[in-house]
Amino acid sequence: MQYLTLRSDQVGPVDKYVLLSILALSAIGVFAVYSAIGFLAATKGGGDTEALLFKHLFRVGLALVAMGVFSVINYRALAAVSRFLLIGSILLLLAVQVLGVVSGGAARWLNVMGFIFQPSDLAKVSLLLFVASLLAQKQLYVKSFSRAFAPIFIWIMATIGAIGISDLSTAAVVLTAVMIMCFIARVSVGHILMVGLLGLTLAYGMLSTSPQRAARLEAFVGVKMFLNTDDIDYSNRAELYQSEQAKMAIAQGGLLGVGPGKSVQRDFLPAPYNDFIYAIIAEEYGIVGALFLLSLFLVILFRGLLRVARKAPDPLGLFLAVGIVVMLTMYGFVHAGVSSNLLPVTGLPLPFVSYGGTSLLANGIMAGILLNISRQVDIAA
Amino acid sequence: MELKDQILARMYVVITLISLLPVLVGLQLLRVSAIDGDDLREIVQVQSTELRTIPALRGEIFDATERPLVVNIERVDIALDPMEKGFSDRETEFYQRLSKKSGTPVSTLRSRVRNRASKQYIMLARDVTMTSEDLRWFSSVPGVLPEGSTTRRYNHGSAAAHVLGVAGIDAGQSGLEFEFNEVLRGTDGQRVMRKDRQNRLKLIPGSGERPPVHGESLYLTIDLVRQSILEEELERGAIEGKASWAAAVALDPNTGEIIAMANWPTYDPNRVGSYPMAARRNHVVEDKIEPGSVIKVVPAVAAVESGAIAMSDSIDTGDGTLQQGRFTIRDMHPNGTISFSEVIMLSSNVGTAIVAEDMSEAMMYQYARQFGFNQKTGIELPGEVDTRLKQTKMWDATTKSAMSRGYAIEASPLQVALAYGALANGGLLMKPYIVRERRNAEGFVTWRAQPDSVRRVFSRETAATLMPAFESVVSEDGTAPLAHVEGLRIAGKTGTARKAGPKGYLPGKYRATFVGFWPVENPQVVLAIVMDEPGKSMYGGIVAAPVFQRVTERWMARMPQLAEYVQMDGEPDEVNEPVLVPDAAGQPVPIARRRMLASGLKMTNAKDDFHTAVLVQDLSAGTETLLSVPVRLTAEPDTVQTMPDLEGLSAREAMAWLKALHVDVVMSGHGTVVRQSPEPGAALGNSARLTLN
Repeated sequence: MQYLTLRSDQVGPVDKYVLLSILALSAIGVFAVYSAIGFLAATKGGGDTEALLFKHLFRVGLALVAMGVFSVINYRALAAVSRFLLIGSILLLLAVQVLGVVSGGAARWLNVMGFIFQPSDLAKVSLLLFVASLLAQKQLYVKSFSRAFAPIFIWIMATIGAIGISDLSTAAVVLTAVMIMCFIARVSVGHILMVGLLGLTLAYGMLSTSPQRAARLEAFVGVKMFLNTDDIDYSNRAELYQSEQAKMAIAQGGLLGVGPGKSVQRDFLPAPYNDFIYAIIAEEYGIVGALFLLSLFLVILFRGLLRVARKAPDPLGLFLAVGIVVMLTMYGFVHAGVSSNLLPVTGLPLPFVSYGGTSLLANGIMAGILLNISRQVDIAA
Repeated sequence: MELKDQILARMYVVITLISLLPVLVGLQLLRVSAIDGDDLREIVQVQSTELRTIPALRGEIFDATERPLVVNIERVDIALDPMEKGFSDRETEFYQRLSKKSGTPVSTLRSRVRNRASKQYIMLARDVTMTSEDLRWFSSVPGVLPEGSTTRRYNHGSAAAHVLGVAGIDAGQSGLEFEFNEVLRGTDGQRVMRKDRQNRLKLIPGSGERPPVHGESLYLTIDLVRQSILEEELERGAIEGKASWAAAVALDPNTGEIIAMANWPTYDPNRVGSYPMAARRNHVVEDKIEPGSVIKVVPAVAAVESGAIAMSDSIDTGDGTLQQGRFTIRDMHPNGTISFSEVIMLSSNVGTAIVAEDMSEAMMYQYARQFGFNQKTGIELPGEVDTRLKQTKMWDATTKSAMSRGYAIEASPLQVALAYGALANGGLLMKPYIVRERRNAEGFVTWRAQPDSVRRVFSRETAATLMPAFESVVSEDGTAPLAHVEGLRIAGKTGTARKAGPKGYLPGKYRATFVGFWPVENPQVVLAIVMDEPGKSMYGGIVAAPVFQRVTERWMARMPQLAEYVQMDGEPDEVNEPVLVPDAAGQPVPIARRRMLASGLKMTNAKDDFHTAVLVQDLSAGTETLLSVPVRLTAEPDTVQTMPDLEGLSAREAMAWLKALHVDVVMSGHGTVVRQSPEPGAALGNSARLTLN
């Protein structure tokens, strides 16, 4: 059993580049959400934009507190209980299918005493912790299919499957992040390709049962891939509208943007405070602002991998740092890709920026774990 | 360390691959912004902004004493941005006024604003009817956004219809409405509003709002009362004289101000569609006619001014016929040897022809031109006819003579009146005008008419010399004794002209004219009357002069400044005679008004609305009162519950009024209402039966 916290002589300072990037993202998020939330406020919040802003501020605060708390909890202690966390979150995911609040076409939320709780957020953190600890344990024979790959793989697929029932895009991003973690942990490339293939097959199967989603993907790629989409006319549908409106936001912003709080497209993009907040940022702060935001994620990527992961005190810390960094940055870049019409429309939030409860909290916890690893960098070296 | 190197290598691969994503995103941003940017920004503009027109209020039209002749009825939707700065200061009054206008209680309005969906925009009331003044008040409240349409109301129906004209949705079609369309219309303002995907609107703070410039109002020289009298008498004269149409114009010879201008048949600009086009023609300015004998003022002035003849010079008119080329000129009666004065008094054609013989063609042409028969008068009305004199080189042997008797020359009734205006004022041809002032929406005068003469046509002495001859026309011996008014000195001239068709003169068709002015000592009014194809008599002295006389008598009573010129032998007529006040209780206001007017009474302070009934009249029914005392009515909206008394109304009027009360009408017979069911005072139902006789 690991110590829950470490003595002060066992830890150093947190990585300030990662910390500052996260704080900067949170600050940008507050401004962007404030601007983007007006329409939601007018429609559902009785016109009180400020009430929704305070709600967001509270959640950001909560996420940052969680980050602080987890930055002092020894990650090894978390890894030790990760098996139970994962089993718990898989059960929760399945519970959502039964009890979930139906919203936006797919059941992804659980209403816990008035709080909208998204179990996939807990599942992805648990999965990273558990897979990282398995990879660390089995590092010596990690290329073995039966001793290492198969036992790890069963857990991954169980979790991804549970997420993917209702949220294919989150499943895809989480699977990619976990597989990259496995890749860096020296898992055989062949095995990884196998998983990738399996994932694609699974995704294809899922899409085949849902002609609407299949048609959405076809509409984006522009290639006919599915047999069940013949009857579905996808032109002029909501997603096409969203991506067009997002493009308009970017065009409207130009190089330097229209200025804070002056977005026009927030009144036209559905969920501008969440799935398309990057487009609103591009509109208000221009390409310059949008690229600055991406650069913050790049800081987390480079600093997280080359400094925190590389200098991690043990393989567990290394793999965990990789998983967290890849997860956060993949979310960020995929969200930006969707908002700029580079990728098909999915409902992924922008980490630390988007309005939304559990995703902010999960990102805060992951950032806290990453910072905890960063505190042990120099001690081990 | 082989393990660690392998991990590091794989880490670089991962970093490289993941870093590609933001690079692609960056390129995509540039592509969207730079390549498709213009089109996309265009779409943003279209989908997110709405240009709302703030309509300018059309100017209104008032008579010489500032009675409103043409007003606007505004049907307005009232939207509100309650967040606008300054709204809260005027909130209370705003809700009260809107509640009054819309009938929605203040509490309901307030709760609607409290529970509005959009923070900055709520449509508070639709289709509220109000005056332009109300609308201007609502527009002045910060955050209030009135939008709607205007309908034109001609307050006095057909009164001055040909002068006022008609305005359509936003453009005048005829009369002053057309001529001054640009002035009346003003310039619409514009408001840029932002809208979202649910088409909810909000104001853009500091957006380029352009306020409307409201139209200017016209203040006319026309006097409503005199205009109405002229119209009544013209109609009566036209019907009695069996004319196909009649036209009349009165002006002030000293200034050129038009006092009244009337045509019969006429029309109601409020219901212009139900009248034939012919009824809309303003013959006074749009028709050119051969004036006949009234033109004799031209050769008379020419002869006297040139010294060719004196008033007392004898002229032998022989047996009343004169052969000139292939034409025989005839007088009404043989007059023998008469003075030049008598030539005018008796309107001797032979005598005029003899006088004209001594005149050169150039002289005749020159005087006709001087009198303005070769140019438009410049009156501010559309469609003024362009009269042209034939050049002398185009004249044949009889042209000069024909012209001296009012043929081979054309003039509008207005030109004839102006020519006599010159005689009345001592030789000046005045430029006529009908708009005295223009005022902007704030009430400031933006333009004021200045009396202007076109030219001096002849000398004062000539005018003075000729005056007695023209005064004698309106005597027992002259051609127009019927124009005579007891106690008032009037000068004038009759005219009768054969009516020309496309192929020469029409047999048995004439135009009869009388033009005159008074008082001779200091002429204030020139009045010209023209009757087309009168069936009763072809002579202006018979069909037109009586109209002149009756109009003059009735106008005199309203012109105290004339007192010093009126010499009465007997007892003066009691003008302010007592009358009995009719019963207006329970009647819709317009009907009550009509009943009061029929008794010669004015009434005040009640809104013309068919749903508003009179509750109290300050002078009760049957009381004796004087005409000059107005009856004060107290009326309440939406109180009409009983059948009004329709007896004596025309079918059209009764019909229009009952329709306004949503009552279906079954009629039998023609003429005016003699019986009605339900009886007056009975409960107002859905249908009514009227018997006419």
